[in-house]
Amino acid sequence: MASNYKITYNVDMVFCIDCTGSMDNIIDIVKNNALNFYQDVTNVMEQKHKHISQLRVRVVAFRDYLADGKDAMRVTDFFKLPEQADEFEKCVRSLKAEGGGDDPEDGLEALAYAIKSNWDTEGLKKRQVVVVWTDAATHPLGYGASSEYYPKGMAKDIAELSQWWGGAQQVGFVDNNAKRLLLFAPNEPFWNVISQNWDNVLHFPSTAGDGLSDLEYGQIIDTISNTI
Amino acid sequence: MKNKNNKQNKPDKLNSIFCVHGEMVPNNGEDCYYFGANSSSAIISVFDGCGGIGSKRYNNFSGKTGAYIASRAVAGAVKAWFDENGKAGNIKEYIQWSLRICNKFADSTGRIMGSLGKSFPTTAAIIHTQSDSATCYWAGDSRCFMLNSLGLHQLSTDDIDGEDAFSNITSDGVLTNVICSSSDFTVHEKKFNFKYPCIFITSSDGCFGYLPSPMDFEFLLTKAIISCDNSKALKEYLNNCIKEYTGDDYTLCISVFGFDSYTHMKEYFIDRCTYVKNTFIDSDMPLEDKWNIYKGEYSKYLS
Repeated sequence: MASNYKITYNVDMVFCIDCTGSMDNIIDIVKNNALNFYQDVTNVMEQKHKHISQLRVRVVAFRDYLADGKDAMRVTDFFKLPEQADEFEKCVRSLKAEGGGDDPEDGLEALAYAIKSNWDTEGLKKRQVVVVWTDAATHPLGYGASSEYYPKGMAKDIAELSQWWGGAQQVGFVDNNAKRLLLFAPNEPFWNVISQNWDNVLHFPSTAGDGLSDLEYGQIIDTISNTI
Repeated sequence: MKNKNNKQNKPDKLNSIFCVHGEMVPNNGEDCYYFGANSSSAIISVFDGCGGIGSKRYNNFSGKTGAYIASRAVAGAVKAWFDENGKAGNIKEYIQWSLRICNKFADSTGRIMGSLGKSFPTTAAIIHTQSDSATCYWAGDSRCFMLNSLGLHQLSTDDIDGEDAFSNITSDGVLTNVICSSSDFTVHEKKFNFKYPCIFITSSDGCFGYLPSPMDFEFLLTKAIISCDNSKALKEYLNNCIKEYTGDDYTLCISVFGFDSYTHMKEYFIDRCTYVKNTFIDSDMPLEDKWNIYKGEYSKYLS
């Protein structure tokens, strides 16, 4: 028999990290969680004989366009792992919690950047995972549009962003079979809207994942890693 | 609910009925099965608890996942349906009854929300044979098959957002229908008339989903048959093969009908096995081209 046949996956992950001042007391924990997360997912997939042939991770660090201007959004290319593991760690370690202005942040713009990632489309089997860590609600899309640094071509509202994510009836920018969205975010607008309405979402309602038990973390990793 | 084998009153023509089953993590496997026979009918069934969407754990069920509990609860419901000859309702009603009990005792304190989580999700693939007819019931991506001299035939249509039986095992598609207690589901039902001799098979994706194609699965089955001298050896052979290549829990239930003896079955499948080997396994043809040749016969019972 074809016992040497192996199922291989191309895995892309995008980590959206709230880097506003209110994250100051938890940013180091989030950084460690981000650095451990891809390892934990790949370990579970390998245990299930889902061999990772390519793993890439990128970072979207976000704040608030009106309050932080040019420092509102920091977006990296994909780091190819394990080859660029050191660069990826250096990038994550360099993130600082500062700025942000009022309480809601521009998390939806960060999510939009993540959704429009240059996803791998080559492998037959894929995972395209977006993870968000934040302690705040989001502004509506376009709230910071008066900033000269606000990106052109951004989704104009949550309805358009939903189309970018895609669903059973329409294909978005993410592969419908491969996509997973994991929110470590409070149960507040618009995270709760996304949690209730988008496909393939897991939402741990909290301050950037604070209070997550090992059992719950295991459940999340299993859900991200397994076929659904 | 993993063992039921009443051979004393087996229906005419039933040669043997058995199950091959293994777990990646002992005592934590999310597959389950039930098979049995009485004076007028036989049943084989597999249930694959969905570990991705059913990963929530329940203290009242020894900390097991919803997927683990669901496959066992639904297997119990199908056993009750078979034993009672469906006196209390149709098969879906029995399944819903078992899921209501799961819900009643569910005590998860998990705080995780979102569309990726379902309560007590499992697939099902069931073949109930009576006289010369077989009724398949299924939900999810576990499969019902019939194997005869014309080859392997899939009887159930995958509940997967995918193209066909081949692409469904290579593209990791999302399940579009699964048994669960948190939303409505469909138990598909389809009745077939069949001619003896033949073999019915129900299988979780741990058996066929880790092979390159349906052709490889048929080759595994037919090669196993002609390589053994009795059903016990066949069971062991299949188990050894599947555990070598799979990356998941695996369950394969088999009911064999209408052969005069094991030797008769072995001789019956020799030509077919040779054809599959020469045409699909040893050939250098691209896999997609092989599938295009193979899929007509394989898919002829699918609608």
